[in-house]
Amino acid sequence: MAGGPTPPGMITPLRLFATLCILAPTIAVIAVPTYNSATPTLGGFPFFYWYQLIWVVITGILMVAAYWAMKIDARRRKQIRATAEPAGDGAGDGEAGA
Amino acid sequence: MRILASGSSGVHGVELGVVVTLFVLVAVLGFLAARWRRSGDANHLHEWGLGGRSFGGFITWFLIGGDLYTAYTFVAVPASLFATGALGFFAVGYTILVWPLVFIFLPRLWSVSRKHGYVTPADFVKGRHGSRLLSLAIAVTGIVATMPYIALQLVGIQSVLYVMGIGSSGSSFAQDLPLFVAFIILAAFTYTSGLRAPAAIAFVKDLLIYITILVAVIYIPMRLGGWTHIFSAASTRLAVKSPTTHLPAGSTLLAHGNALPFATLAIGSAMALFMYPHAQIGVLATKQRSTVRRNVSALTVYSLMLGFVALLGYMAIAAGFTTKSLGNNAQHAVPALFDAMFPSWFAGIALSAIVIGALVPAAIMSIAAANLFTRNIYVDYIKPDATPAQQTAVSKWVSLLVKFGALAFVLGLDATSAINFQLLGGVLILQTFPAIVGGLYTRYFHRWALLLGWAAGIVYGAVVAWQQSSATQHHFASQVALIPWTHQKAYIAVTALVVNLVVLVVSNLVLRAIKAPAGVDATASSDYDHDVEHEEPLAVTAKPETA
Repeated sequence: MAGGPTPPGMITPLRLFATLCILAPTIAVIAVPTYNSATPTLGGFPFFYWYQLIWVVITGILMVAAYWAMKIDARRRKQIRATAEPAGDGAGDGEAGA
Repeated sequence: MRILASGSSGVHGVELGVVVTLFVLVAVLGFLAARWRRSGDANHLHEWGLGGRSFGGFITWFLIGGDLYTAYTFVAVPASLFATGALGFFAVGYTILVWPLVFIFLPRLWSVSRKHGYVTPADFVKGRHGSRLLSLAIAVTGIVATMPYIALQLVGIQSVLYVMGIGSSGSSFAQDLPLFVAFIILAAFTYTSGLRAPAAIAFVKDLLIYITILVAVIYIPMRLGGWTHIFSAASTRLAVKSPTTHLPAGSTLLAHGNALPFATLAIGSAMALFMYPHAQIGVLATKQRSTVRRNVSALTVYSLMLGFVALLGYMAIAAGFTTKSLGNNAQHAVPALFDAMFPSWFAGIALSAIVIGALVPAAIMSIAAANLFTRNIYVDYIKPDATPAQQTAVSKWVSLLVKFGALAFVLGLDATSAINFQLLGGVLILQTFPAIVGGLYTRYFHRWALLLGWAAGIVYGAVVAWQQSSATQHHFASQVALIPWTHQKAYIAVTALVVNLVVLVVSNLVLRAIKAPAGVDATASSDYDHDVEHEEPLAVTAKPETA
């Protein structure tokens, strides 16, 4: 994801979680044969239509989750770096706002 | 149940009155926007072309929404469901897939562009790969793909005018005059206010669009007898066999063999969207790196609305419209539906939403195309020592030129060809993906290999798209075509991208083997992650820094 100058051991549970949040909608949309069906209907909508509309909403939720996961992860890595280099060169731009 | 537009001739006075009033309102807003949040040097291209790179989350939401919600989505997507059924619904999958992509790569593009003062994607490509030729290729592709997109916004406005009873009779000059007037006003406020104009108008536009869609998806199904009835009416009408081809027009579920076209249309369109210069502008204009990611989830609201807009196509079927009753142009489906369903004052608001919804993207697109010309053709090839003030002046004039080019396009050719060229534009723009997105992550690919891949993808895509014919059209009749050596169809842009990547990988191996000179990289790996908040963007760095 955010590549660049990341410290070793960059695969953290939080980053993995964010990756899954990003992959899930992609897989849900690409798997066309699984949802190309009229039933079950919901409020008059064939499955094909309401499935995709609901995935829009789920995608929105997953993107918030991914954003927060990345943010918390960035803060933690910053802390780790700060304790590793107490001198604090102030150039910790590698992590900010990821 | 048939509620048909009475086909009343003559001008629809109330609707026209509402549309004109709202149009004047946004025009005034567009001119006033020039003074809005003015900060730095007014002569700098960042100011006119990127709104001073000062936009926070709230404005960005509206601005990026403006890229997604064009007259094209409001007019062409429902028209596609109206004419062919389920395949047109790929637009929802496409607007789902686009957000994960945005989340992944646009923050990197933001960081590197801010650090080096890049205004266009071609600026980045030049800095990253050290190749003016590759940058020129990206810039030309961007301009060529954007022009018909602007033309399509005009087609949207035209179909509203048609439904209101203007432009369906009389001399051709009188027919095109309203469009011409609307266009001159659009051109004028874009010239004076730059990116601030569409950003300010986007508020009004979205307000109108959200009101219209909310009312439409509640009120119209009620009048038409519910969603169950709408879907069954659509399913029945689409199953009717055409007298010329003896095939059904489509169906409300994907027919056999249409799963791959559906999936590739969704993926290809999602990958292509943020290759368009106008889509990147909304991102580059943000104040902070995190703005985009924080916004992504809120932006999915646009996708949801788009899904309901698409279904307006089925509502038009259920309301009894046929292609014939729409003047043989399915593009009129949504404006005609609004006209038939709503009381005339609200129809006026709904039609204004389409018109203003066309103005915002048209303005952003012309600014983006103008920036590309100025930065990557004028400065690189014509006048390398142009001052920022000169660059801004050139950009302003080119934005006018681009818009009038689009106008000539619409008036000179028919609406169908504008749509065809827009489809071709999607095929072309996707071929810049390896150089731009690939470049954000790796310099493994040689600049000449990227150029060769781009050329191969462009040639293949353009030739195949040109070859598609149907009963009514000789060329550009379809977005999907058979994959060579198979019996399976797929979106042409995606097949062309595969051709592009194969040529890229093979020629890259050859070029590396013969040790062809690689370009100089002006960026450092830390440039892609940083987040400057107070630093002013500096002049473009095309040469590596001496650090």
